Amino acid sequence: MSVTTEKRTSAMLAVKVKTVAMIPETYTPPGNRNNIHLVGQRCRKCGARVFPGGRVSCTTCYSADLEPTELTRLGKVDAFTIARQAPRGYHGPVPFAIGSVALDDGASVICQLIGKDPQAWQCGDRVASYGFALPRNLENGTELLCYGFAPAMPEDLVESK
Amino acid sequence: MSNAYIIGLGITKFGRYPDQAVESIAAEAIQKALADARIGWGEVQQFYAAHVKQGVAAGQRIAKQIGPSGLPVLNVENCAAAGATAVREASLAIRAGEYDVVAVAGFEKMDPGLLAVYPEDDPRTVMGLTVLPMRFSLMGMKHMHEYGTTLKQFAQVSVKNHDHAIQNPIAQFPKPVTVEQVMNSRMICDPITVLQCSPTSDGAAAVIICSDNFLKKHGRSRAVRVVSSALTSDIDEQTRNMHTLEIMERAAKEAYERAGLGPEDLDVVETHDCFTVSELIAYEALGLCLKGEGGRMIDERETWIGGKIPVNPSGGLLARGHPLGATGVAQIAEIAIQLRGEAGRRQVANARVGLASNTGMWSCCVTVLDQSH
Repeated sequence: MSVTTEKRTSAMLAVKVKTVAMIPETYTPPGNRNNIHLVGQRCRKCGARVFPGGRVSCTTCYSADLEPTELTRLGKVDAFTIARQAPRGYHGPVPFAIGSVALDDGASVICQLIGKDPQAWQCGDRVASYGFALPRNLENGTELLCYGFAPAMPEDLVESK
Repeated sequence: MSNAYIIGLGITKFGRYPDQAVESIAAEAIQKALADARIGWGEVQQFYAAHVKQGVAAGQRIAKQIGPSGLPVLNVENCAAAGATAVREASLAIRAGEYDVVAVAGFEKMDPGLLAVYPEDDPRTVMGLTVLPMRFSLMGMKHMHEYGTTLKQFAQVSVKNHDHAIQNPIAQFPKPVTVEQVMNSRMICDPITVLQCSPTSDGAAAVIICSDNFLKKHGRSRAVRVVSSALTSDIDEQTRNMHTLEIMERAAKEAYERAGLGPEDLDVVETHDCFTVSELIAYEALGLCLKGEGGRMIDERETWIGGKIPVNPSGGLLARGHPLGATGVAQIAEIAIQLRGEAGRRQVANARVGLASNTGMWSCCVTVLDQSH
């Protein structure tokens, strides 16, 4: 009887199944490029948009007439900084860039800037919103789908039309 | 209606005192202030206690230590702006004619390390958004982009304040640092390095405030008048003003208007240098210079003792230390010491009018003081 050696593939090794949880009510499900739209809030009275949503009154006109709204993907970096150490509870790559992004439709967002060297960012860079996974719980391997902004590509501009 | 005067003050040496209870630290400052004012605890008609994390009814716990009085106690929390807010409330009561003598003490015994912002499982923690000092880092980077401010200019604020602290007996870090040491210290969050951050500290500061009536009996010498104060909160920095010190600008404008003077009338300033970036941008927010000129002011040494408008002769939060609840009161006490002419080797010449600017999370309290005579 001959003994054959099976080639071991990663599929046959015991692999921890990673669950990537979504943050509820925060963004649309990712497209095939991991492109997402953030979901914020719009004032029906004056049209002002904010992110995140969940407000009880408009910060511009104080109206309580607010509705959830999909925000545009496109914006520009208003300011950014580079975090050099991992804050407690953060298990992602370090250093990482955090930006204050002014969306084209008026909302502003603070989150990570991804898709290029953290030190290569500049105020004024054009960006688009994407989802990306960061580790949430090291013990059970769960990840969180986080929202971030990456350099705007031609495909992002076309999609927005 | 009455004026409000500081007639006594006391500050403990800021530092780390793991074996000393906060009640004892606060009592030390209060007893110094009472002795300086030449009054007893029994004459104090209300006690305003400024603190952030010293627990429920901390003011009452401390009041009982000073003496059996049963006086009214108000605990004041406005994050790091608690101290100046407490002085404001105390001075408003005096000015309204409600009391003749009140006491204010700010105190804090702090856990080492950074304040926890959100719970560990919160999405914002997972995303790395709890990194500190995020807002001032964004503000500093934007200032560099907009006005060409340099890392070296920010670093110089730390050099200046450490230099000033050498002459302050209560300072936590009375030792010089060079601009190279500051710039080469570990970068936390661009552009802020470790030596550009204020420390965690234990300490207390107290002032005694009285009315016109009381001053007649007490005597005017060494009395400093609280001319005006203003308190503001952020108009939702998430949607606007994330990168500006608009809260300080607005508070300063109101304090100037109420005092009937402008930034050009100031002789000495204490401002909230939680980070070097905070101080440099405060020069502009307080109207000491035009927007974008903060870097030039520090380069031309205008804010050193001996310069055009000395800022933080005490050493500021960076070098004097930053016990959260105590800082606002310590800033006002320093201005009072300067206006009394009792600042020794850190004395600002001919100091007659001073301003203290105390910020906390989402709030700012600005106080204008002058010599009462």
